Amino acid sequence: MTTWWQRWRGIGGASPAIPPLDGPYDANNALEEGDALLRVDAPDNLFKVGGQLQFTSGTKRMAIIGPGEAVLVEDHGTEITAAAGDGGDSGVVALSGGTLLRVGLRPDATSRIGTLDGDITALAFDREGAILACIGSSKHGLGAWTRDLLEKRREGSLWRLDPRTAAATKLSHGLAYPCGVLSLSNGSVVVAEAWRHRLVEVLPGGRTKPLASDLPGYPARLISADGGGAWLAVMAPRNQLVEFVLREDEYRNRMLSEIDPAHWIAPSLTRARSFLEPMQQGAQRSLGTLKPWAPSMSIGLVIRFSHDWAAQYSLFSRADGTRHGIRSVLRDADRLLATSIGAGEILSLPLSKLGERI
Amino acid sequence: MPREQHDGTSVCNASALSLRDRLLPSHLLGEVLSKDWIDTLIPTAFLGVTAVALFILTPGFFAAASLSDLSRVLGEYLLVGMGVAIIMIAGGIDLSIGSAFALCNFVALALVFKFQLHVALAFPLTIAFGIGLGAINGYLVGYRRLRAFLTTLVTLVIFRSIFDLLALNYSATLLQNYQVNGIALWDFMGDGEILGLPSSFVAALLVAAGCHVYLTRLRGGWHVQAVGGSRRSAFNAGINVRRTVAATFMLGGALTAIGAFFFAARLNTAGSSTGVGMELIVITGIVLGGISLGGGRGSIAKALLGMTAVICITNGMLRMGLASGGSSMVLGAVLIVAVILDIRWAKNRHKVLARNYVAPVRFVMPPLVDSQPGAATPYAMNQGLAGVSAIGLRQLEGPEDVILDEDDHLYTGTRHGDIVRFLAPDYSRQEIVAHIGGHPLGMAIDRDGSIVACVAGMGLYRTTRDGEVTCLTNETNRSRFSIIDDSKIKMADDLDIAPDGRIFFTDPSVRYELSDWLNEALEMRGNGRLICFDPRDGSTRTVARNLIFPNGVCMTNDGQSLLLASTWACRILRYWYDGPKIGQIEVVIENLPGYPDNINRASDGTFWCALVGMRSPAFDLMLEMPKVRERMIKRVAPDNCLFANTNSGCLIRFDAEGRVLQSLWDPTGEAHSHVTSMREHKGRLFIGGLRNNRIGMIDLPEAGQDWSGYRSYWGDAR
Amino acid sequence: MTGPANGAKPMLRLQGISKYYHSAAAVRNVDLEFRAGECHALLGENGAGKSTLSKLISGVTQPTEGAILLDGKPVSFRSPIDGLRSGIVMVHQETSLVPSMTVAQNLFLGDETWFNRKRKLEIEAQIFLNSLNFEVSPEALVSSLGSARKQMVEIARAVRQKARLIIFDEPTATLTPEEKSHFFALLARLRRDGVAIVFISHALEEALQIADRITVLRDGQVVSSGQVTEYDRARIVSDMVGRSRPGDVQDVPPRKVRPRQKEVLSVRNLSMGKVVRNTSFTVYAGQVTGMFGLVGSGRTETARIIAGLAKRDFFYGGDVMLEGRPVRYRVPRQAMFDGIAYVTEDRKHDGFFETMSIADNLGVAAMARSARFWALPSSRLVSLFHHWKRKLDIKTIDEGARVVELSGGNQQKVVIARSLQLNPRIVILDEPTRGVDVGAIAEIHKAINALADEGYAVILISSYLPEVMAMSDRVLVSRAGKIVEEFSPETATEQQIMYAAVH
Repeated sequence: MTTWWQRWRGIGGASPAIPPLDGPYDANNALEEGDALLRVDAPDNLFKVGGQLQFTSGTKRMAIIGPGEAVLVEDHGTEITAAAGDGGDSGVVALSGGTLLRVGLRPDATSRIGTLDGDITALAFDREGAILACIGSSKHGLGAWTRDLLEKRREGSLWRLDPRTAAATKLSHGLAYPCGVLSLSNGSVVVAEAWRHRLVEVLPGGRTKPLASDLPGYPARLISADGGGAWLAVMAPRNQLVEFVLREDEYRNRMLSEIDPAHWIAPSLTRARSFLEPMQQGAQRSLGTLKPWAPSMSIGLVIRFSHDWAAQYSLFSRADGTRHGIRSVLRDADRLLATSIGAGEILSLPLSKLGERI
Repeated sequence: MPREQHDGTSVCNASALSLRDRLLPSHLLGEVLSKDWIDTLIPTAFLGVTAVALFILTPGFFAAASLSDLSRVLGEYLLVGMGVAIIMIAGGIDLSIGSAFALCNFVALALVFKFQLHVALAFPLTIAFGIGLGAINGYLVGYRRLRAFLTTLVTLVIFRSIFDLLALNYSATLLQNYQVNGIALWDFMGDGEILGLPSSFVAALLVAAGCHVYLTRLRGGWHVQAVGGSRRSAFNAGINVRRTVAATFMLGGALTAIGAFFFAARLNTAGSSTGVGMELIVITGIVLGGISLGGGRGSIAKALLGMTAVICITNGMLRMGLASGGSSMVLGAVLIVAVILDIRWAKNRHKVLARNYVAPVRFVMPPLVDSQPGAATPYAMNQGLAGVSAIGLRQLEGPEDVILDEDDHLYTGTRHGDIVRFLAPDYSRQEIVAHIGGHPLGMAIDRDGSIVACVAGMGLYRTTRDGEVTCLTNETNRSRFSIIDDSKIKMADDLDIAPDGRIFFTDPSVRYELSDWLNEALEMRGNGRLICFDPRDGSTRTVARNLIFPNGVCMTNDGQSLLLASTWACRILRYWYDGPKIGQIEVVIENLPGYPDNINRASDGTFWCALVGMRSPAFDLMLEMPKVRERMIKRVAPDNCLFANTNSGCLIRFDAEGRVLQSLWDPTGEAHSHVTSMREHKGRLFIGGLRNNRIGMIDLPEAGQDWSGYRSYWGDAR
Repeated sequence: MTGPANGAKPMLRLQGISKYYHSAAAVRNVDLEFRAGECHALLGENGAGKSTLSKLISGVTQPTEGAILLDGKPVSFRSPIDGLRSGIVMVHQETSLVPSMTVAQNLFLGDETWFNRKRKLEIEAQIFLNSLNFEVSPEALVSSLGSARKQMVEIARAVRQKARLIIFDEPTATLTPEEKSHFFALLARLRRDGVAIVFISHALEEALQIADRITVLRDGQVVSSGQVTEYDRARIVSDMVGRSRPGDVQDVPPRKVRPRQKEVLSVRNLSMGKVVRNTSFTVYAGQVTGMFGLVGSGRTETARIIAGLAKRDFFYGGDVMLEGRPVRYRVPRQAMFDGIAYVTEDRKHDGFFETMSIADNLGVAAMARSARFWALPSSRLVSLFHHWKRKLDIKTIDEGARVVELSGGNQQKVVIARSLQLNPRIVILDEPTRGVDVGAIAEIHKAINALADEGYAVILISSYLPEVMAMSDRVLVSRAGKIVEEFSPETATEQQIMYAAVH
């Protein structure tokens, strides 16, 4: 809790500090040097159903049938916002607007489960087969996530759908844009609160207990890793300028109303493509090269957590790389797959190289 | 749109400055803090508080009569005090002034009354006597290198005992006859006034002026400060330390004698309490003023302020009937508070300065012109520069501007302060023409083929073809109302040479060095100016002021006006340096989509201009909110602050009327990421970049193949 | 890099020069020649007589025996003024500037015109400093400059006096690679103008790089003298110490980088004026965290804020967390109680108590930490002395010796011992091996490695890149008051680190 004294002097909780990238978040180039499994437009939501790797790209659900080869499974017609596999032969897919579909290997296995009010940002199955769904914000869809951040909303919620009756019960609300959910073997549910840069455990009754806070970015989907712990995809980095703008109400409101969203001072899933996007002083090219440690609104970052939720190490694609905007990860046999929306690639990294026990 | 404006204010800053900002411009605070006379802030404040307190506590303190008496006494104290101040600045101290004062007073009375000498003769003799006393201290402390504190303590006792002996035996006979030789002068010094001010006070002011000049301008004064600052360093620098220290004591003696003479003329008595406790009051005043006991730091103004405050306090307390013990107790408390404040202020001043120096101003940028690919404007992005080849790749650091001579050799400046020449025709071999030191920026070729370059932080330099460097100018006239000293040229950027030889160059900022040029973009204040150097008489005059980051300069073909790029205001201006509209500034191109840097002539009578960066909506919006920028500078690390996008730029070509004809882009930024200047030469375009490591070159098939910059300026004369 | 023809007549010649300080011979029977346009390097361990020789040549002290011949004629300088008049200028190791005056005034100290305008002088000083690529603002007071910038003003002053012979005593000790390259370019220009240069340094590879002639001194005597081509690093070291000594920073075998242990110190958004600008970094136990950066990049100031010697900004000054607990020290004593030891960059200025003996110095440190002792038996002092003498291999006869009489390396060890006496959790070493001779450097490095192995968190601030690469487990690069990047010494190259420090 920041006291007025701290707020007046701008220290402690009121300090605009962001965690430096050192220690477990020591920057490297692992993601940039990883090899690309295949190129596809805006890949997201990797999941496994019936042993087959599936992912979503816009409105299409596709399956990976070999290195560099993907085939369309089904085109759902509306934007797919989240997906998850139950570890068996079926999975669940959420379409923009909140409709939930049960899906399988072929399009004919698709059936409608129900709808929730708002774009579902993350899905997972718990031990009993119930569906856990996060709604990032009741006001804005997945596409307007930056607007939700800049409007400082805290209107995310976590739902549980009964495996048989698909009746939805709200587990928690008032979350700061939950964008990743994971059910642990001991039954507890872990949610990634993006705008509060932390992973929290949702306790019965809706209260939350922070597990890993002060993360260096906006956390998104997470999956469990062998031997406890988890892999977390971080979709965008924390930036001191964005956190400064979050405190300047007049400037922020005028920016939201007068400027095109693509040119806002806001986190982004892709590298700056046009000079109309804001640039920070440190990002100036000197002697023809862009410094890897330059401040940027986008980054590629995956963090490995131990079983007691202490960060162990992280994989980066930095300011001078292209593989940014990683929003989902999946562990498949001896490799880690990650979807980079910024580069339009699905990356594959051998776990052995990362010092993992297989 | 305002057409003519000698002073660039309204032209450069179309939006109205907020009223508050016009009345009390926020940049003044930062500038006042950076001046060294701000150190007297504490003593001045103290004097103010003392005056108010006395005004309340002792009615009638400020009545005319009491003030003139007070200032008469003050005059004497100030005279003595200045002597001690100079001794302390030299690292010494003089406790014996009280006794010396009494002795000099006695000698003065003796000379005038007993020996009946004319006052005009007695005065210099008394001063000589005072110098003698000072010489004793000076010899012991200066030459025998004894501790000043102990030595002068001893001489205090000796002088006092001599005075007591003399006073005891001769004071009666001294004042038998009141007959004074030269009574007019005597009375004038005792009670006379000049322009309403007591004679001793006026004398003190004159001596103060002399001491100030001595300390701040004369070699002797600097040596005194040097010896006070560090005796060994002064010795190593070849200063005669012994003589300097001795001289300060003799000067102290002389001033004490002058003070004593005025005192004698006023009171005509040699009471045993003369000068008792004077050293406490004087030294308290000096230390209160901010002169450090350790020596080296301090000025006469501080001493005067300090002593005036102390004497007002002591005088005020006498009127309030406090016993002498009470007054010295209050004096002690005052001294402690003053010293604490002074130390705390000296330590934190640089922090307060750093926080408040950048003073942003509101600036409304017109709506952004569309420059996306396929836009209907001449700025539409294209692949014009995609085919640029690189010269000196990775061998150059910071070639801001490029220029070619008639033999097609290519010249540019580097961050390490060299002017480099790439030899025609293939520009693969390079050689260093000359080393200047500062980073050479804008360049032009003079009629005799020598290169005139603006060097950051140093001024205007001419380099002949065989590498001989001469400094043309590094100082311009100081503007009357500017607090900071803007006579120094901080960041000369680009220049051009008029047909009559006059060189016009821009100094983009009077407040920042080249390393802080980014702050200019956040301030958006008219800190820049256009300066003219006239080789005919070597004079340097500032011809236009209050411009926002004036950068590129280029002579038009009409021989009467020059084009001026105002970078952060995204404007190109025209300044008339001759002809009917001489001295006026007007806007040629308003609302560019990017930030113009250097402007140079093109072969068909039009002009090239490099846009060093492109505007972004978020930055334009922040320009309208100075308070937001101020908070950003204070709270966010410089690297993370929002800034203009200088990673992508382009070249534009426009005609004299301000119509933009063409733009050349490198959208990917791979071929030539950062562009600050371009030079057309015989069918080819050469491109420089301040933060780039290469010079770009591209063919211009449709341009004049044998056109060269040199001939377009100077014809074929060589 | 050979100078003009060596046949040229020597400008200055020392014949049989000796100097005795109350019966101890600082310099004995030295014959040396210095030629115009030639850079002559004087090398040797501390106490080998280098500084004494330079004081003799420049006139600060007078020789006991022998003659100094200038252009063949014997001269005797009674004071530096005589030296200056005959064109001999010395740049002292400890700064000889007047702290209370501005840089411009210091630059022209001694030969101002009788009437000077401060503004004109500052402009002239700005031009001159820029022409040497030294980035120093002429209006600044010398007291506000760091030691590296003071060195630049010293060098600029010497060069400005149009001397015929310039003696540089440890000129590059405080400069970083960027400034060193400018300084060497300056030396090359001076030699072209026919100035004789005497270069006194501990940096052997620099001497090999820029000198034409090398002279090695040991115990006040010339051991060998000759063209630079006849010398290499090994021969110089063996000449200097009489036998070859291992453990030079160059031959340290590449070792494995220590893993980080628990987080000890985390600095968030620390700011102080224009010097420290919103810097954030974390320090872990059991590691040597190297901090590299150019002059004025704010490393020392950051360390001083952490150790309570300086105060951060009142508003938005940032936070320092010691094991998660925010701390804010007003005086160093508080930092010491929390286990933060800071070994100062300028050991002569505020490193140790000159007038007290080694044992007393250590004793003071012991008493400072524990409030229990209000007095220490002398036996405790002696045991303390022997403990640290063994641990840091301080070479001295007895604990009674005054610290000021020790060599640079041993003084540094006493200062380190004094700090370690507080058994701190974090040890901040600021340029620990500056002005220390080769042998002692190896021992100080050994002590630093021992600290890290014992689990201390060590912060090593150094401008000497090879030392940072050899000693640190992780290298933080600071630029313009902010830590900009972290490199691992195993993967990063010197060019990468320099690029981060400059651009």
